Amino acid sequence: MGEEFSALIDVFRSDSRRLVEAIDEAMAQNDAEKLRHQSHGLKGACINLGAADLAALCADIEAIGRSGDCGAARQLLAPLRCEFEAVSAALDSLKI
Amino acid sequence: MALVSEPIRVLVADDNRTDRTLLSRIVAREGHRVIEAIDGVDAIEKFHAERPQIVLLDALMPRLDGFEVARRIREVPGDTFVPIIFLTSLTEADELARCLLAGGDDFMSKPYNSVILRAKITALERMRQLHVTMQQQRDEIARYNERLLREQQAAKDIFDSVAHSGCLAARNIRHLISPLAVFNGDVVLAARNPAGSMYVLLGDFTGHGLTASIGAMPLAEIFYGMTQKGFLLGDVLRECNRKLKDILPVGYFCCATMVDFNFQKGTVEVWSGGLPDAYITRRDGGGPAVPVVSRHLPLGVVSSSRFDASTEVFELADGDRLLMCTDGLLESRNDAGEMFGSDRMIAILDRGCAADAFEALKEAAYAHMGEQLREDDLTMVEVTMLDEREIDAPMPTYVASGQIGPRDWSLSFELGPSSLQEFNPLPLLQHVLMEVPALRVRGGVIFTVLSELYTNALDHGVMGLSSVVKSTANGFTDYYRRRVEALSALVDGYVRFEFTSRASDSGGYLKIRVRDSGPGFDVSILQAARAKLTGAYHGRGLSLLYQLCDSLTFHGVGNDVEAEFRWGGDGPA
Repeated sequence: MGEEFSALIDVFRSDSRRLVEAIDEAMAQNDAEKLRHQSHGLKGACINLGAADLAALCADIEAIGRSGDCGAARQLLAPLRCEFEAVSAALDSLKI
Repeated sequence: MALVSEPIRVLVADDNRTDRTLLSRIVAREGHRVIEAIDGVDAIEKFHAERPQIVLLDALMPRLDGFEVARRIREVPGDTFVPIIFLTSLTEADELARCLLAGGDDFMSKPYNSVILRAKITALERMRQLHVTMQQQRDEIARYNERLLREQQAAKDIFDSVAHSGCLAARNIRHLISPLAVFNGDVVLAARNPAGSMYVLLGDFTGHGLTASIGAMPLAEIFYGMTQKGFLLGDVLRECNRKLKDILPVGYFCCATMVDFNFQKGTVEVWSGGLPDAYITRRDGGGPAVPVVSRHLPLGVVSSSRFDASTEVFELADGDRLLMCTDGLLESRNDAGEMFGSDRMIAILDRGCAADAFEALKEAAYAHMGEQLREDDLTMVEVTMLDEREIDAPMPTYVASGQIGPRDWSLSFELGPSSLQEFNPLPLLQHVLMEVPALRVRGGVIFTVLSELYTNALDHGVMGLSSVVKSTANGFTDYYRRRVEALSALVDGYVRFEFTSRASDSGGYLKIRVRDSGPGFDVSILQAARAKLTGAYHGRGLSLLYQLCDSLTFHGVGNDVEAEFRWGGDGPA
């Protein structure tokens, strides 16, 4: 994909960072519906880009969001941020 | 794999920017035009504004989710089919099924695969094009069908106005023709001739549909044209047979019964070819129904030279009726498959209540058929003998082709034995006379006089038949039999017409002189009889002549008679 792929990675990095912040916000506000929706969205993008571990984390948070218990999800926030940075770095290394 | 040949417009609706961008790029690389929507509401707006041909729809979106978007797209009125592919990271079977139930045509799971996507777009585009073709064909069929129905209705209107027409509304005619019938091939025609008789023809063309009805057009034209001009029953039938034989394909013909109701003489002359027996029913207490049997082949079967136009004559009293039907009535079946049959018909007719027979027969037929009702084949006609003054059907009118006609002319026309046997000169002579504008208004009267003068000259003059026979029981029937015999044996004799006419702007006259080769008769007896108003010479014909002509004179020994018509102020010189 070349140029397009680099552009796509940029889109993923900025959009997904927004989603990670939104997940953080939802946990802070105890908004289970928002938590479920944002983690579902991030999960889809991760699946599409092959970030399987990050997608699995998102799926776990989505499942907790569906159960309505935002507190239980909080302990996943740090691993989420950590994994996101790792994915971003890995994708950057693929850019031409 | 076959690529979609034409680029199409594809709507990509996904709130997730990464997924949307990725998918848009894949679709664009296939050569299609991409329309992006960032949520459900945006998707609906772009759908209406950009008319995409395929929609790729994320299931979970803010403001309006994919399921609702799909539902609203499906609700857009019109025939256009727009395939919807759901995009989903859902993996549970019932979630995927929900995409299809919501109106999706397919779904695609993440991660997106460009090969799979291309295949799905190709497949759905093929389905869309199939749908477009189907719509076009459906519209074409609908248009074709509509045109067919319109044409059929127009054709039926023409058919009805031709095939069920004339003076069928006259008070002495009752008829049943199903209004549901589209071209059942049954024809009912009725008209009066210039002498005041009523001709009625019931015909049943073989087959159904357009083929069956097409022959009705020339049949009706000949029937009305020749009846109005004063041709005899046999002449009309011969011409109908010739025409139908010419135009109908082999195996197609017209079963028919044609009758001439002569109200003056109280007779009905019948020709029947191929239809079931007609019946004469006597007015109350007048005895059992008399069958009138078909003695000929249907019209359109044999060539003119082999056509037999011989007729039978029956005497009818006022109130007696003739009932004709096509085989549809007799062959109508009940639930058990049993035919109505002539026995049932005769049983009803023999109840001895002629006035009610028609309705009774109709009701019995309907009752017989019950659920099997096939109204399209029930055709019946009943004609009643009445006093001529009670007949309300109009006489033929002579349309003036112009006010200019011959003003000073004479015509001599003599028929020898062969002509007398085979040729009816009356329509020809009537045609000549109707060229005179002043005579057209009296066309019926003149035809009656012409035909009485001719019958007297031929029957009583040339052939020497005695009219006394007519006044006995079965007199007319007997008389007609003798007349046929005498005519076929005729070897010499003549009837000569001489017409003289003068016309000016203020008036004019017509003299018709008819001379025959017969021995004449004692005119003085006639004159005495007239003075006493007795029935000598079976006066009907002669007294009618005295009534209708402005003057009537016998010359010589009585085989030479002169009738005169005058109009305006001018008398003969």
